[in-house]
Amino acid sequence: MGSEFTFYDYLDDSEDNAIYIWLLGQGKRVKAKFDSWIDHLESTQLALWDRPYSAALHGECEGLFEIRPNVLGVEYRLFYFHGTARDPTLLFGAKEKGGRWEPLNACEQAFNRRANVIENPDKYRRRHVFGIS
Amino acid sequence: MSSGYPEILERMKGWVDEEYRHDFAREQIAIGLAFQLRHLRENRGWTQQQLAERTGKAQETISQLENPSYGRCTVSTLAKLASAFDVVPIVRLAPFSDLAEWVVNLTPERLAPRSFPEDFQHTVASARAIAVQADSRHIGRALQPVEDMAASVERLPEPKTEEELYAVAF
Repeated sequence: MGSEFTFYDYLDDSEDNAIYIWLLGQGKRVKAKFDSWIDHLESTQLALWDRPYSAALHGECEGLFEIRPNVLGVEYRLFYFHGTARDPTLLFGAKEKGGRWEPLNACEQAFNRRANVIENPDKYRRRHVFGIS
Repeated sequence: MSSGYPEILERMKGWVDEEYRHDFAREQIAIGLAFQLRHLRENRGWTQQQLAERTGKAQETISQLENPSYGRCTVSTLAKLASAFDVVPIVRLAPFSDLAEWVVNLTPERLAPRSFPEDFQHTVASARAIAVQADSRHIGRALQPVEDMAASVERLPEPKTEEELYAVAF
């Protein structure tokens, strides 16, 4: 027995954890909320990975998924994609305001990162960091 | 296999920041209850309306309780939900290592705990397996007391029928 899934964080070219840096930049409460949601998503079957916790993106973002908590009225999003195994990778953090992403090119940046992970997963991803190190 | 102290310590290491760990604990309560409620309900094959009827609540209330942003479930409501599922609501103050043990060992089975009759039978089966092992190593006569106790399983009530659940008064 154990987790059903294992989330990974995207590492940039310098091998800095881009997800950890983004989350901390949003504040400790946002980091705590995402960590808590990721704990629960990891521990259950995919059938429960739907709203309000997670959703598949469409249109120009087709192929990506999001974790979608609201913290103090702000809609935070972490984009991820599923690999071939049970190891989704968190790619990019954004906010959603009035049906738009902040930053506007959030999906494009996520796709660029996804390409890096697919090409070289050992270099571009690491087990999700829970808590503050 | 469940995770042990290395994983628990690793998790606690990330909680040294006081503000973060208390935020995390609050979020665990919010998402933990909402997530577990939905997990349990779907595991039992119930709709929100069916759970509502079993708890004397409105379907809209069940929907709110399953929303991780709601966060206003009272202990009284928690007790009603627990009765409907025939599980126990554990509300207590505990050290952070307890929370760490819970989160590093979260599984679908722990999110959807067994009802009491199923739990009793499962516990007897586990005790029987351990006793058989002990007897095979000639540690003692461990199996007989377990078998005596297992006989009482036959006298356990069956899981509640829908009619009985509806009749539960609070």
